[in-house]
Amino acid sequence: MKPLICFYQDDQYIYSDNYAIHTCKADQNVSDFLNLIEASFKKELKVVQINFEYNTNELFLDKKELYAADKATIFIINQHEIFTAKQLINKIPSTMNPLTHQFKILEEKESFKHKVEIIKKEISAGRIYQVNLTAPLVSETNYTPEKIFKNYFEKFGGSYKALLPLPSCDLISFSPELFLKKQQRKLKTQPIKGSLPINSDFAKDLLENNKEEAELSMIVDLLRNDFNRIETEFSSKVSFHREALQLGYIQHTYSEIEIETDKSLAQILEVTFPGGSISGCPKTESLEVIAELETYKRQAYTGTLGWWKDNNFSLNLTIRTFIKVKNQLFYHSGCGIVYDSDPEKEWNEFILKTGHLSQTLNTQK
Amino acid sequence: MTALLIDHDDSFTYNLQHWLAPACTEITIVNHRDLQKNMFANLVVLSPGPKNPSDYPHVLDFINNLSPRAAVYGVCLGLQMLVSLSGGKIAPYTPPLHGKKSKLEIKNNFYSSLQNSKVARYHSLYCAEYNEKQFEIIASAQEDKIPMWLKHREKKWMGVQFHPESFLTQRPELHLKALTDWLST
Repeated sequence: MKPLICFYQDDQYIYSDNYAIHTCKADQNVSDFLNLIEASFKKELKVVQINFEYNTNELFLDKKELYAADKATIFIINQHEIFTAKQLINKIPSTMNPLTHQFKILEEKESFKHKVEIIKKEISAGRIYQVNLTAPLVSETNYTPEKIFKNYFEKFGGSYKALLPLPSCDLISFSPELFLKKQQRKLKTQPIKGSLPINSDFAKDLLENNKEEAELSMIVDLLRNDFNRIETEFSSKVSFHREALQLGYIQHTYSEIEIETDKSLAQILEVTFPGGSISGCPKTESLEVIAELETYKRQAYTGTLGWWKDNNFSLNLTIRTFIKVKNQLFYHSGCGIVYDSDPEKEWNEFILKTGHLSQTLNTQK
Repeated sequence: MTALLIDHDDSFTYNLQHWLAPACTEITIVNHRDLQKNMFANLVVLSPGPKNPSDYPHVLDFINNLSPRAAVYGVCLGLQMLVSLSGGKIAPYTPPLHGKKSKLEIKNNFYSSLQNSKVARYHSLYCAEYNEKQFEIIASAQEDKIPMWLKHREKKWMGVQFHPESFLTQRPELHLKALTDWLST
């Protein structure tokens, strides 16, 4: 079987080549699917993947799909090993030369900037406060998913990496963002907002930037709200706000919100999904704006993936992720648009978030 | 005290619920689309939300049909609804403030414990005009002098432009006490 890799904890990874795949059927509700799996495989280690549109599909019915995909997939892990990053990389066969991909953005710069202007108008009219605007990129590739994973592993920082052999495509994720982590009764999330090139002075250029501060604060209040929706007895708490996240190719600020809960994964996802940092605020109206402006369905991108066992799980926000479909390789990037957003700067941030792909991208107009 | 919290599809409604909880025995959240004429509680709370008061005519009708003694507390869009129902003017505010903080300039000594206190602002619109015969101003923002906190002189209506439920707002418990003190007078 194709190898499956998923972040675990403390820089350790789950590695398995013995698993069973369950997919959510087109006419099946994802919550029902998760509950059925939980009832049958509660104590087993599982790896879960869920698409962005799973609980808002009616908004995106007329959007183009980049590839055929199941709404949700779960791997029941029969056997696995736990590897450190170094052991993991040694396990995958090497390629002689670094891989190169020529990515093409499936969005014109002028069109992207025009969309930023439309969002700013909607913000002025009071319809929304912030929206995350994204677009896909595509390249040809002849490499195996494992080789792509290994090639970009060191180049992308981030704690939530994974390689998932889904039935319809391979996901190669280098996500730096934790969406939901539950350890017994404690549930937490760590939204990221605010970006800066790695060579900038973090304290000066990011921490003192009011626009970046407001963007993250807004998402913190939104996620407090989503967590407060889970429980009435316990209230969410902000455990830290605006700490530095250094990723080697970019730096960000992030925060942490937590709450006590006994609710199931399906119940928690129903009120927190899709994640606030990749949709916008207020969330309901932002999702409508995304449906109006973005050309393609996001599918796996900005969905979630991670491991689940018993009452514990850890799920990333699936950003900074490659999707390999036959010999096509997709990648996506996006930016949080607020009223003070400058369309040109947002386009530059869009490019910056493509990490090490940007060296080839920057040469394009 | 029971509260009816009208949700205008906002992403802060449940923060408002948790902020109100210590003062309430029961809080019922109802989406504005599901609002029924016969719904009632000791306190009606109007959540923040997107768009303009005029986009919610059914909520404006609901408030208009309440008894003049019914207590109504509006947050952000909620304040703007109370002001527009009283002939005030709601206009775009440039630049919109979302996730930013201001200091309160308290004008009524009864609320002086919140003087200079920082509050969170999330708004693209503001109360450009309000009828001073009907509303008393409790506080404005120190930075731009925009009305932040208003109270109706006859009806039991109070509203805030800022977000008392935000984690950016200092002393949220004092804001809740100000609300309950006002309700008991």
